[in-house]
Amino acid sequence: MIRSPRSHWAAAAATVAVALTATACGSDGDAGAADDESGGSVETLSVMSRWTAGTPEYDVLQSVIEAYTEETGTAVELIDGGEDIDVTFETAVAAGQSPDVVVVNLFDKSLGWLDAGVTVPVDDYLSEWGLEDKISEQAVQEWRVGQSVDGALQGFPYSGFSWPVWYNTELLAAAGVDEVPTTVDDLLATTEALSAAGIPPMIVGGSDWSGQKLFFQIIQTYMDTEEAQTLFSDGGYCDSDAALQGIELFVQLRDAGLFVDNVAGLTADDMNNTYFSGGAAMMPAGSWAFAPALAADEETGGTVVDSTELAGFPVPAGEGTFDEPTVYQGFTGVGFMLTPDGVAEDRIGASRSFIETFMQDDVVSQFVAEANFLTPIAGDYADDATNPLLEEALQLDGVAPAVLPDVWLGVNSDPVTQVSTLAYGDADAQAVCSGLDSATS
Amino acid sequence: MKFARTPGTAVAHVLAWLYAAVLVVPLLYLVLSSLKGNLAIFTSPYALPSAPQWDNYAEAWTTARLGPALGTSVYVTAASVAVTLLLAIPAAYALARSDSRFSTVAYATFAAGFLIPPFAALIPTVFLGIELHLYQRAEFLIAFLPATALPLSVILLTAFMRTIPKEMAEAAVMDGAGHWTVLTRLYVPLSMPGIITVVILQALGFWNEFFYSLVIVGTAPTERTVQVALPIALISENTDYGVLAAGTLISLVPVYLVYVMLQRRMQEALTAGAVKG
Amino acid sequence: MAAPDTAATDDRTGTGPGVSTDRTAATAAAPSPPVRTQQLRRMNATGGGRSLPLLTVPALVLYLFWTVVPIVFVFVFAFFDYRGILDFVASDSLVDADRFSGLDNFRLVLTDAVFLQALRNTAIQVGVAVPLMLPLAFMLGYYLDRRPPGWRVLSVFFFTPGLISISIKGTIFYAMLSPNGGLNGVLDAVGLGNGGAVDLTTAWYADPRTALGVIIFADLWQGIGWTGVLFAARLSAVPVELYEAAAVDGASEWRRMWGVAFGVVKGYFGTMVMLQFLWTLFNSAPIVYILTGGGPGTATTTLSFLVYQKAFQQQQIGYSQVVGIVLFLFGVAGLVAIRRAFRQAY
Repeated sequence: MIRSPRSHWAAAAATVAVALTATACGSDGDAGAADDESGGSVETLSVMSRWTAGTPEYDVLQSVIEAYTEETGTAVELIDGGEDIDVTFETAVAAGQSPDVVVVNLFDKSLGWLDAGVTVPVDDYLSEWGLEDKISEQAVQEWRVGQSVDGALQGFPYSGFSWPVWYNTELLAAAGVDEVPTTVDDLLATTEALSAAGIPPMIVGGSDWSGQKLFFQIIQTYMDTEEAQTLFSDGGYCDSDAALQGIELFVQLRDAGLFVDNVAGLTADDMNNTYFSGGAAMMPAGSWAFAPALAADEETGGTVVDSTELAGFPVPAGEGTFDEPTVYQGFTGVGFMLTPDGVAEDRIGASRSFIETFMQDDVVSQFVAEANFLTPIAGDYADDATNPLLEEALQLDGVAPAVLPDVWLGVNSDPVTQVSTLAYGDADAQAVCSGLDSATS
Repeated sequence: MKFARTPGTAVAHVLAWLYAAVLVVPLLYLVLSSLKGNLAIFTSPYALPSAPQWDNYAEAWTTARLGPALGTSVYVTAASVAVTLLLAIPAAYALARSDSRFSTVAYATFAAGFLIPPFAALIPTVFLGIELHLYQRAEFLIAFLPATALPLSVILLTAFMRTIPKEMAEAAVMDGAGHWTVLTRLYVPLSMPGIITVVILQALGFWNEFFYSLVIVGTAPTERTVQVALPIALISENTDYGVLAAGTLISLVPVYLVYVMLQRRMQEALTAGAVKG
Repeated sequence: MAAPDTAATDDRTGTGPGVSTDRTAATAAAPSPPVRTQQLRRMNATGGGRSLPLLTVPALVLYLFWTVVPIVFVFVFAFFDYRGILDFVASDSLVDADRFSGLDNFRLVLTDAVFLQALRNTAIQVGVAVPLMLPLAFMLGYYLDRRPPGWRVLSVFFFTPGLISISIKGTIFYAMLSPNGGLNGVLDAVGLGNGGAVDLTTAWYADPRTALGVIIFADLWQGIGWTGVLFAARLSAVPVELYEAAAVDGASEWRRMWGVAFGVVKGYFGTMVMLQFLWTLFNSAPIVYILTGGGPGTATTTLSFLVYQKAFQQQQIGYSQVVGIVLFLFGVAGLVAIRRAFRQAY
């Protein structure tokens, strides 16, 4: 070939192409492994966490990690998963970079990880590491597959939650209501009184998970535990009398004006912030809202926390399967899952000591005090609770536990939320039940 | 021609400014929110902040670790734009000057790039990224984004370069110039408005890219772009919207700077350049 | 949406005005020392020699790699039973023969009520957004081009929303359209809200009657201004004499806009229609995800969002890829139809 000026160009172009491919193929994508110059023992534990930066639990996590590293010499690579942790975790596994420990709640996709083999059952470790007596039996059962005694244990429970209804007694009193309603009839009367006094009754995030939970809490009023569990996972709402009754109860309450205007468009943040500023008399909120409630009172100089009484959601007197107002309570909050990587021979020691660190008394106290945890760990931590709402939640009685749908809905959680949004609008019972069936198929 | 003063034009004025208001008001809301506490945003969304909360900005900066995230975004955007230009300019030059069957097919191939639905292709692209060991590396974007930018960039630049009369190239060739010289001394300077346009449009697109950045590059503070850092770090069960707004505004600053610096040239480009049809 | 000026080019021959005619004549006429003759002979009539197309190769390679390979796999995965990302981990190779499911996914999708609803939603979305946005943007561009008072400020206002990313746009809209947000606030203030003569306030993106409209509006909100500014720039090249001639003939401003200006930029307009069509068809997933999550019910589930939802939320990758194919085919069909409609511009 005769050399001509153009070949310089072709060569340059080719070089660029090669350089690009070289960058692509040459770089080592193994972001997690420590460079072990020593050539052997593990010096970094890879932990993926659901806790978001800027939250109290994240801060406590950081301090625990620091202490852990100082004591054991093992560095911890912390990966923020945030609310997208399921996608983050799954792509990491697909890329061959599974973390060792996952700090995550039992929700949506994480419920399928044991089955997919990307996390391991921890039954053996529970006993081997002497944690059987440390963690409450109820919590352990909730973390078993199917929540049954035979199910494999998906992880170590660590934080529970309480999800009561918050009643602002001051606003109730202003409407002439002296007692927190416990039956549906009471609730309807309360609603009427509040509306007459121009006070928005109940606020909830109709467009998101908070609305979904309340919705499910109400529609299971006529079902027993097993029925509810089966229905949530398999569907068949339109064919179930109990389900239809429950849905009709929801519709009745909605049409009676229980919820604030346009509730279908609200989010949990709207709910919290409106309630904190005295903009509604009632809201169903979980224990993660205890800290922001205090903070809001500080910001506004208000007394919402003092006026708030925590109780359950009213049930129909003499009907349905519940004798007392219902509340979600449980331990499927955040827990520790282990991956095959994490229990590999060279890493399991580090994983073990990491988890044991969290089980220590002072660490649990810290989480209770600073992050308002309801903990399944054995020990007396009630005194560490500095938040009056947390204290109240820990002593809550006169309530019956409702079935939290998360574990049973699995990955249908999102489409189901779209149906509950519809329910908070003006859909009738039939539209709602068929929407649920469609979303669960 | 002067703007006639008729009822029709009055309506036009009103509508245009009304539309402008509809555009600006939400942005104003964003700015106001960035200076308020969370509760204030909910209770009095349009009121001026009683005491401007400047520490929202500081908090957004530290909590979301915006320093590294901005650095990564700048790095990714700049490098991707560079790669795009490096590939698109020669390609456009070739397509502008050549009438061969090959170049016709090549041109059509680039034009077909608009037909790829991005979200459908996300799953296979994830695995492609993993296979190339680019998973969880910002470099993935530098390898990937230019490819998505090439259809528009090549088409646009080709249009600009086609307006350069071929006689000029011939003359240069007769004086002994090779492709490199013709390209850099003739075509690039003359199509500079077009190049600037491509730079603005692509820089914007790269900076704002979210989904691939989240799923493939990931959330590690050292690798993530600013678009990923903001929601990952700031959205939780108890989002502080003031901080989120502040962080958002911080992420808009570089984009706005690029726009301000280059927009006049882009105006020129769209006016003068490959104006035909 | 961006503005390439493909109106300038003809895909078939790659020529446009300004192409030189007879190069061989030119080269033959020039006095040429032997070396130069050799060079020139190598550069034949196609203007650059066989080496020229090679310059497109690096771009083509990178581009084809990242577009063709994934799209091929989209077609492939549609025939397999893949659920979630983790399904790919179990097998060694990317394509697991055991999971071949033939036309099962297609059967499932094409008869699924959700898919059909998504088809309807997408048809409405595209059918409303594109015909609304382009003419409005054109008129806005014409208006700006006439340099009305304050046009510089207006241009900045119109262009700025195009600079913000979709996630920010979604967050802003969320705040504006929230039940206690900006829009309802304005309605209350003018007496069209709570306690007013007519209560127009609603949950907007959570109300099945208005949710899809919200999605469409979100696109229009940003797109009209952005596209309008681009039209304005394009229109500034229209010769003033054309307007003056029309004015002399007694044409009103409106007539001048549609009769003169539009005629000149028709090709550009056609290109923008094409691009906007494709963009609306393919890219509604992020805005739907942030604003409505596809709901309430399935009121705002578009095909684009369905692709995302099935793959990333519901672990039905096979389903998702089938919808991807449907989208692709619609894109091609729409493209062909639009080009045909604007044929004369080319």
